[in-house]
Amino acid sequence: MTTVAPGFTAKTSSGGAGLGGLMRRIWQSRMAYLFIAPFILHWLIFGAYPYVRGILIAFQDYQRFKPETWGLDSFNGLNNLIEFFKDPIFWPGLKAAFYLYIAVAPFTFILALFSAVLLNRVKNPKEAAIYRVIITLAWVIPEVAAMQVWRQIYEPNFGYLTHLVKDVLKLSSDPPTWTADKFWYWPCFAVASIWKGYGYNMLLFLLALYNIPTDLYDAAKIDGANGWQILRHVELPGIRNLMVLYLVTNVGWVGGGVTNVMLFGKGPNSVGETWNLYAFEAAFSQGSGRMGYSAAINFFSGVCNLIIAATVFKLLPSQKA
Amino acid sequence: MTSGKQAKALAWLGIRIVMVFLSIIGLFPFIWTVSLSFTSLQEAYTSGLGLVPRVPTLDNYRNIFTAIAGGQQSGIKYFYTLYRNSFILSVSSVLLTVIMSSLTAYAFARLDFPGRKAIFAFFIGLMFLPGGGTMVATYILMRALHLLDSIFGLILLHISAGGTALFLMRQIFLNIPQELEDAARVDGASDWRIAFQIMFPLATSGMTLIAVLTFMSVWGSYLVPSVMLRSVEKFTLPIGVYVVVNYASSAAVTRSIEFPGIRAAVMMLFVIPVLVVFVVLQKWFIRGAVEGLKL
Repeated sequence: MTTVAPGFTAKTSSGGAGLGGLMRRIWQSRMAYLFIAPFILHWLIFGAYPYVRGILIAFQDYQRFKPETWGLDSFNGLNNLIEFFKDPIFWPGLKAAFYLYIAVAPFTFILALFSAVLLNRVKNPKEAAIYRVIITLAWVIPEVAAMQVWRQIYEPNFGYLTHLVKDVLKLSSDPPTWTADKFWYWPCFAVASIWKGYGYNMLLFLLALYNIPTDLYDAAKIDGANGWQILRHVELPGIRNLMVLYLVTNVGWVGGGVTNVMLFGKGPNSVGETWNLYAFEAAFSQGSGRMGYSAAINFFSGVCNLIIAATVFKLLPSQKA
Repeated sequence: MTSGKQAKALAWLGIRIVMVFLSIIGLFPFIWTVSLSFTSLQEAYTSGLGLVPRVPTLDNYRNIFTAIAGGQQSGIKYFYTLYRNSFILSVSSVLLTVIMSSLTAYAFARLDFPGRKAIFAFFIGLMFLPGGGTMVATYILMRALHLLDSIFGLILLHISAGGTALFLMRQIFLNIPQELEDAARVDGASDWRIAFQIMFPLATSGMTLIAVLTFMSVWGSYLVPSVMLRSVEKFTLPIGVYVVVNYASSAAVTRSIEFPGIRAAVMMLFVIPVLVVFVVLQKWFIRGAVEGLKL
């Protein structure tokens, strides 16, 4: 007992009972506490505090440029939320987020899964690496650059899309104005977003496929399974947990995007303006500083998303043995 | 048997066709941007611009610096500042994230201490909690700390040692065989030696993964710096590039770049470092990711 190394004693030593025993175990584990201390400290200041403060401020009329509203006496209960329910952005913002979600998420998921399954069947490691790198490249590009590039492609007069439709495919001599068009804004946004996002999701699915034990494949092959049966009975069950995780973490669509819409452009008459973007502008755009109102919108959309995610999780069939 | 072979050959061909098609779609915006960056002013404004410039030119790269603000000198200074700030921010955040997440994950994976399970479960649970006005509150916090317009403040905000990084690193440490540790202990190695001379070197693939992931997200980070930064001397690349190409008036940038060719050249300068990091490290990256996701 006397030479047990600190930090490892809990498994071996009986430790002694009661508070004294616990104190001794804590002292013996000091290396572990030292290791996690920087992380915990950083989290307390830059994670926990803004989190709690951000929820509190949703019930406060906090205005950035009015120091007299920074104190505790500016708490106004549910006023921010009530104002938001009557805000003209309420329904259009919800609609924008819904369109964004429907236009992007299902296609990203299907395309990612499809390409991961196919790529997993490219057995030559060098060849697979080339496809993998190219497909994930879009994810590596910073959003500022990616969205700028797509805006250039969609530029109605000198962009490539107009050229493609007009001169190469000869579909139309007078193509629409793309992102300045009320209808075409959504498909244009969707293509850029799917292009940007599906590589990362493909990578996740691919890594999960790589982790399926090879003996499962071998067993299936001995049983004479064809490619389709291997997909159905080996691969899909093997990545089921990841798909559930993906679904639950991505289904919260209510607030909608902030950075992507901001960088791509809100479209004609700001059709792409979502709640969260509106909230961001309320707090941070020039001259505006309604931080309490902004936080209330974020808080409300966050709660909606949590409810949606929890419902989806409940509705998913439980895992078979 | 021949039909089986034929089906196999057909599947092989089908997979290649789809993969090549996806690769072309994936690369297209890059090709377009590269091509645009070599396209002359006159040609870029003719309709019917194809994928290969008729008369390739280096003018856009030559003119980047004169295109903004008051001329060559101030243009070079502007971009130098952007690069320097982005570099300091990215490297510091990456180092701190890797160190902090490794230490924490090691403690959770291989050390036993009172509260271990509860604390870890707490932090994983946090990943699923929705925030309210976290950004607003972060702004208020940084204002109170006098770190609003500061690279140091941004570094603190870009350390992401929890969540994914913690989860992946813990998994990597869990996958190191216990026998290695036991053997070292029999040889009389101390806990500190076991941690720093045996375990941490074995987790380098995971550290590479965390480093690349963090670098990618910090190099392109736009939203947080756009809220925190005010003065041009503190601008990072995403902010500076956005300001330059989006007509946003700012004290330093009197003239925004409107010409698509120069915009494309600016994008290339912005994107190339992160692309190089990813392509060079992608092998280690995948290795780390495969191990980190092994449950």
